Formats: sequence, C-alpha cells, structure tokens
Amino acid sequence: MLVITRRINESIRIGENIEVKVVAIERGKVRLGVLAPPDVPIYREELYRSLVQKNQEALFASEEMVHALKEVFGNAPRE
Amino acid sequence: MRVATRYFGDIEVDEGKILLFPWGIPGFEHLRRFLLLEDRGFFWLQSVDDKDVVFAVCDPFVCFPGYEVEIPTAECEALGITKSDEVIVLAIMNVRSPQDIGVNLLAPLVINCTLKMGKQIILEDERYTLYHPLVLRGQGDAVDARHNKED
Repeated sequence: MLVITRRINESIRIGENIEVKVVAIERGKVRLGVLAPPDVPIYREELYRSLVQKNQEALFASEEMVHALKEVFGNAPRE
Repeated sequence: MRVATRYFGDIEVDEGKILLFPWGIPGFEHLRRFLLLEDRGFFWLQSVDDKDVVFAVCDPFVCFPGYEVEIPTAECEALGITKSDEVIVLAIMNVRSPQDIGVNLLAPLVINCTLKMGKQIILEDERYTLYHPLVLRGQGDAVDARHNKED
C-alpha cells in the first residue's frame, strides 16, 4: 500500500480526475473530500463490504426459500 | 433474444427490456445486464448473463409505508435522471427463513426507466439498515396492503 503524508487542505490525485482532499482532522478522525466523476462509485469501505456480503447472502439458493417468499406475498407456488 | 432464467426457464425477451447496471451490483460487478421479472407482489432481478444470479426484490414503498429515499445529486447525474417519474426504486430481499426476511432499505436499487439504467446506491440515512425485517402477513398490514391494491 502506498502511504503518503498530507496536511489539512492538501490533496492526492488518483489518475486524471479523482482528487482526495484532507478537509479536517479532529480527535482521531479525518474528514476527506472526494472529487470524482459521477460514474465512479465511492463507498465507506466497511459499508461496501457489508453490502457485498448482504447481496451475496440474498442470492436465492433453495426452493424452500422461494416458497417461503411466495407464501409471505400470498402467492400460490408455481408448478 | 433468449435468456436462461433461474425460475422461469428459458424465456424470449425483447432486448429493449434489458436493464443496464453499468457498475454492476456490489459483489457482482462483472454482471451488467438484468431483467426485471414480475411475480405476484414482488419481482425478480435476473442476470441476463448468469442464470444463477437472481435477486428477489420488492417495492419498498409498499412493504414499508413511510419509506423515503433521497437520491443524491451525484447519483442522479450518474443515472441521467432528470425527473422523478422516470425513476423506480426497488429493494433486495434476503430470505433467511420463512419467518425471517430482511429488506435492504439502506442500499436500494434505483432504476432510470427512460434510459433503462440502474444502480444500487447507499443512502446517507440512519433510519435504514441493510437488513430491515419484513413484517409478515397476519402480523401487520404491510404486505396485505399490496394485496388489497391488486385485487
């Protein structure tokens, strides 16, 4: 991992059009400002990981679960 | 075109119905094309390119009356959204057991119906989580409300 020291209001640039700026530093917290094109998704790392995990868990594996879902929504099971 | 689906077998699909998720869905970034298949009371978001990737999704505004989504400006720009009536919002459901179904209200799927383009966005809203318990039939009217509307 590349490690760079930056002060308040200093930035790093990633590629041509992504800028990450240190906006504030306060009691163990760093506030970052990110300037990136709208098509670049930006996530908090831990939230992104949880989301990936939840999406993977949501994949339908068993017919039993499908049946459960149809029952909950009041649907008769398909053939 | 023909599409292999997990629950409906091979189906013939008008290519204009295919939804493009240019950034994929977190965890499945390699899959970009999806179909929204209506079931009764909910939908399936089926990958066009991998039949085993299919999510059960619901209308969160029906399942959770009072649910609110504020789509950040940057996301509107990314999805080319110009007016609210071209947007549909869906939420992925996670079925752990018949009595334990969670709905991802924190990271809804936002779809621009005009451009047929979608993205899973993460809201900045502390009221919602990635696994919001769905109130089951008989325990509340959340799901029944949908029924009454359809009957």
